[in-house]
Amino acid sequence: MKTLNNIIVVLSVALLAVSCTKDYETPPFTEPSYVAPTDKLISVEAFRTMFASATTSPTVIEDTLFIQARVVGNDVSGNIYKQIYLQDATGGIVVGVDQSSIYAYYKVGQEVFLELQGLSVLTYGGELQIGYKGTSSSRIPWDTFTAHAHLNSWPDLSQVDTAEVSLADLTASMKNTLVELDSVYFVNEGSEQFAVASSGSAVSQTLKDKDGNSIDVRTSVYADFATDSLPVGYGKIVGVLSKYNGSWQLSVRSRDDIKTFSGEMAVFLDETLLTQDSFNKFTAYSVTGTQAWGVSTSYGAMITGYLSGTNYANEDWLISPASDLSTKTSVSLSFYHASGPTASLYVGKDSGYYTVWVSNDYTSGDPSTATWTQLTPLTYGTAAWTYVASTFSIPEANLKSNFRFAFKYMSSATQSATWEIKNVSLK
Amino acid sequence: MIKNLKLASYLLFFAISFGWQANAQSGKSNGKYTNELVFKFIPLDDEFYTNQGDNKAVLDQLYAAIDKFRDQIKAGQIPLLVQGYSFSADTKEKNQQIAYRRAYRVKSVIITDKGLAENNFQTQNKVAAYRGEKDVVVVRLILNSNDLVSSKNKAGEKAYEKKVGEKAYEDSELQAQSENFSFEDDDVETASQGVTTMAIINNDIFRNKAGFQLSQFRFQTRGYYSFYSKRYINGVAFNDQNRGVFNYASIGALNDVTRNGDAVDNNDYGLFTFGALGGAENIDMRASNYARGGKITGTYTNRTYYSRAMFTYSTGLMPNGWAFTGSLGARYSDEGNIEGTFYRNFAYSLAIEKQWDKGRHSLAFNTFGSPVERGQQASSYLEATSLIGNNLYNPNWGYQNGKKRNARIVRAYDPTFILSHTWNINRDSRLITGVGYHYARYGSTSLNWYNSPDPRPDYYRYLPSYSGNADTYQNWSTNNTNFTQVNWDNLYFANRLQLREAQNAADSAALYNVEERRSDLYEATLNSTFKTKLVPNINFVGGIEVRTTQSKQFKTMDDLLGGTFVYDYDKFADNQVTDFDNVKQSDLNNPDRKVYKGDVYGYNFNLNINSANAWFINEHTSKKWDVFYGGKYTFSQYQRDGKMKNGHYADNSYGKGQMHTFNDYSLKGGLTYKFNGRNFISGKVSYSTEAPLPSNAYVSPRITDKTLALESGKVLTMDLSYIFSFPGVNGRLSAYRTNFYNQTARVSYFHDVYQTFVNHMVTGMDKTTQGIELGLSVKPTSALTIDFAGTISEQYYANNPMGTITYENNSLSDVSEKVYYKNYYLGGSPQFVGTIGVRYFIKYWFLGVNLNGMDRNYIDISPLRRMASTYASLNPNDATDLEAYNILTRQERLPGAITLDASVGKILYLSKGHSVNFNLSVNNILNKEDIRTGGYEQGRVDVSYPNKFNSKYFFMQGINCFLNASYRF
Repeated sequence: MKTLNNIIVVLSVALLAVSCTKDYETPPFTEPSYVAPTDKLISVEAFRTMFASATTSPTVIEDTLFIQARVVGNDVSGNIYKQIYLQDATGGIVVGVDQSSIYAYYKVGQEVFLELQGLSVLTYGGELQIGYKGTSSSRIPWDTFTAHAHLNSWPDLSQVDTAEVSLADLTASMKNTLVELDSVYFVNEGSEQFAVASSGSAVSQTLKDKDGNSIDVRTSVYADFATDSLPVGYGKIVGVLSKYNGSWQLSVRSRDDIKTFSGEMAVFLDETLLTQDSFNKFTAYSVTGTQAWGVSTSYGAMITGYLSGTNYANEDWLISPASDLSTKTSVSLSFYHASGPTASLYVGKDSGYYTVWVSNDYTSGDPSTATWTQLTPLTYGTAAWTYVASTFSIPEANLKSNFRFAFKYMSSATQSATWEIKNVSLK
Repeated sequence: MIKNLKLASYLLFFAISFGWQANAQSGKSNGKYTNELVFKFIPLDDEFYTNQGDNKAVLDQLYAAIDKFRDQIKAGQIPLLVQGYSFSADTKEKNQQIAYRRAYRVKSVIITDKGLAENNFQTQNKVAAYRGEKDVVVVRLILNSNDLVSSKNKAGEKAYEKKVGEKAYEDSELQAQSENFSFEDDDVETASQGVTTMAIINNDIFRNKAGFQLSQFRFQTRGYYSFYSKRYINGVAFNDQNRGVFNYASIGALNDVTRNGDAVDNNDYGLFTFGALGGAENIDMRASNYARGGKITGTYTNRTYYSRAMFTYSTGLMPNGWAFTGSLGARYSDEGNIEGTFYRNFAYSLAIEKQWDKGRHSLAFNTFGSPVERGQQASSYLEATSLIGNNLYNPNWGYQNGKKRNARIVRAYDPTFILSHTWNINRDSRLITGVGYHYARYGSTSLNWYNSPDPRPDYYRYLPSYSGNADTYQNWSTNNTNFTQVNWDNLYFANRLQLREAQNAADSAALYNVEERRSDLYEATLNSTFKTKLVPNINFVGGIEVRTTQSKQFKTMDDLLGGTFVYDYDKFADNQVTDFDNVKQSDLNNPDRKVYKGDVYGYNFNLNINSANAWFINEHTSKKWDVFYGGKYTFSQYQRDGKMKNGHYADNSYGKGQMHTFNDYSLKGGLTYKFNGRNFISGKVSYSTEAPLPSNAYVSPRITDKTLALESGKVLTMDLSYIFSFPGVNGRLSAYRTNFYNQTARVSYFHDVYQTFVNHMVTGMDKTTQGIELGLSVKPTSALTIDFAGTISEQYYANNPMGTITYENNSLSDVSEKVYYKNYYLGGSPQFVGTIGVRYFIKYWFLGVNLNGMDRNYIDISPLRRMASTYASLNPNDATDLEAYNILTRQERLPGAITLDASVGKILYLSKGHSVNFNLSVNNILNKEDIRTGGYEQGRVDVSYPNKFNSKYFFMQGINCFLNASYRF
């Protein structure tokens, strides 16, 4: 009997031991809530004013202050690195946090009460930033940040203000805020990606508007859209605006910030002709005469038939690289040109010394192998060495593939002038 | 009975040589031959009462003799003759019955206590009186029928009787010690080689002491990894073919039915094995091994589990030839001594045996299993453990809704089936054939995360040394569990917030989850061993073995922590690669797959492993010399069968891969010179080639079939032992040297700079271990014994092998570069270790104290820190650079340590042959919690910040106890 009792005891212990695999109770999912003392709140604008004298060396914030703001930019795509952008009605501020994937807890639209006491202010790239004293890159350690950045209620995207701005009128109050730019295009549209680099961790791509104003879109090589091709055409883009060493830059938060783009090339050509690289994209062909097209960093592509007191007869073509205009319904060519010296200002102007041509069947070598159509009229400057803008609408018949334009220069043994061309764009 | 005198004298010499050998190995003092031993019975009663008359003393005397000749008795060379006498009943039939039962009872007791088998006995029933005694049982060892006790021997007999006491308590104490023993859980995932454990006690002092006392230091005898120790059950091999180790967890909480068997050490051969470098054990679980009766054990301890219960019952070998033995066990703790760990284990064992033809044939069936679920601990950095003030800090657990939850849980179950047939062909020959099958399920969970902050609390960037931040320091030094342990509530929050805010399907993937990594095994083994005597002084033993194994390795989604799914991508895939969308796929056959709870994902492959071997040993014996030699041939092959087409290795992952085949052989030989009966000197040499283990062969087996050139490793080993046994002192002194050639090892780690997993294979590695061992037992008085076991050794790398680094995300091509390992010490086991113990026996109380010490315990070195290219950017003339170089290349020697253990035990003999045994052992009495038992260097390196990736350490538990009570009936 005793044996039987013992057996029962042992068996029950055994059964107890393996009765059930542990089941874990899931924690409740409750809306976070935080209330800061209203008399300690400070607006971003006031904050910026208060710490306008911050330097690259971090200063600890001693006062009890809270910024009540929303998260407008985080590292969800891996583009923004170890930073978070907060914005209220008066402006935006960037906070450096030493953690990756901050977005996991701080979503765009999340209201945050940032308790400033104990954190530090510093400048980075000439701009104000909230950070921490004594850490690597002065970033706030994660455990400190989570203790200071109090979440309040669920994220609400509708509360996030996206300002529609234009590149021409960016102001200081827009720093670290969320903006939307419309009718802009990437200079390297279709030919490059957002961030593919052989070295370095970020790449800048120039974004321009129709008026030629530009801004750098800076993308990290670790962004999940880094190897995507730049969109083609004009479109809308959203991002966080910031300044670095005096220049504006835009940080896109994720692929979704690249809104609809037209898909048709915005600009086919946009060359300054002020650098050797830019000039080398063109083909210079000398039909007659020894003088040829050259490049100057001040004046652009230039040519003259005059050398050491003597005029020489020349015919020289400067032919552009090919573009495919077949998808477009209208394209215009514009450039700046000047000529001189004063004495030769009108030389050959009626003899077709300076003409602009277009063709769709040029391949290489002698331009006479192709059919060219002249673009008229060419406006001339009235003063020597004064640049004049010229714009032509490309004839419909030429809105096809293998489109090229060319500048033809002529001089004679009796007279010649200098022709300079720069800032050529085809769009 | 032996009639031929010539044959008798052969047998006598034979007996002497083996007898002395066995005796000396047993470390016991030599005694004289035994005469008949007479046990008294109550008239008409067939119960065997040990406390009747001087039955106990006689029994002890008998046991002493049995110990002395144990090997021959077990081998069947010296049978035990048990004669039951009954002359008190009125009828012949009754007397016959009583006599039979009496003999049977005595025999059963002997079988149980001494681990003998039915066929070691001869029984006779006599309806007669023995020298006037009507109710007795007489037991004799049949050495030589003409050996009668002479007066000259009587003095020896007196001395012998004194040794009765020791025998009893040594047995009981060893028994008690083994009860205290609980097999270490071998974790498949750990970097260390696991601890070699022993189940069988044999008589070698050094082995016993090293096994019990020194396992606390993670000591491995001679530095041999655990896959060099072969384990058999009922003659069938059970080291798995994938990792080469024996799964002690399969017999967890089954101590009572796994205590019997044979053990051979240090490359010795045995009747069941060709031998193995680290020794071999054959656990005998056959049902007939146990006497009728039962045993209940209860244990309390404060280690990984705190309570254990075991119940065993056996019918013993019944007259009809059947025997049944069953055992149930359980081990439990809600939280072990290490925070966050828990233990739930239940074990069962059933053994059935049928013997026929007077024990000439026996067929034994065994099945057992020990399913377990337990929470694991992890090693951590010194910085973390010292900030918290707890060397046993466990970063694996955290609070979830106020309850502790461990991220790393092991669920394992290894049900085993063995069918074994023994054929005692004649006195000299025996054939044992066995077939074993087991399915080992092993799963270990861990946290996984995608595009989210690292959830591990002791990730180096969360430690104050990284940020230098006062808040972080505060959180750690006050042990704020929101930061020092896994914050499960935060993980759930992140997953559910992500789900809530997701704008599209792709965004809804969970950030955190728990995965279960499975390493399952299906294995079948056939072993057949034959032993015989070719001519009177030449013994032959040989065997064949055939094995087939399928290892299935994959991982499943265990818990999505509030999320709904994840995508089956490699989170470390380099997004700069143009083919990123393909490269990140775990399975190109199922791209962009959503993984739900229970799904297999990440990796999935099988390893099909087959092998066969044949071996023999020949032994020549003579009066002064014993010689043995033998050989073994092994054929093995294995092949990977990938079930997923991995994006990193699209051409080399899916389907059956290359078949790797190996032909290996092993030769060994040895010589023993016997000075006299008291001491002899023995030397062995062996040379073997060994195929690389499948678990080491593949560069990155989870994702590709790729291997480097595979070649068998080689081992040359020799040892020399002097074994002595003088009155009052016995032991063994050994010197050994083992050279390993052409070994392979693999280290895997995450590379911060390249953001990918890195596999570093080291090949063509040579190692040397050499040293001296001493096991000594001194008996100043009959009740007092002083034991010593110690070793001084040197274990080091003997060359500079080649290392090959492969980057799992293929962002860089493979790097082959020499690794400078030469003369660095091997890590994983202290090279200088010793224990000295005092045991005192009085009135069936055993008291023992042990002082243990270790030193020269080195950390496991990592290959990346010993490559020239790692330091290429440093300038040796610059002080800071030189400092960094020195810090990174120096091999850390862990501090030496001394511990003190004590134990006390008591045996109570009750009526009807029942007994109760208590034993309390307290280890690490001085409560030293800062003893590091091992550690490893991290694979990663940053030369600008040499202390950035510090080593991780294992610490010894402070004071711990083991209280065991068992009742035998």
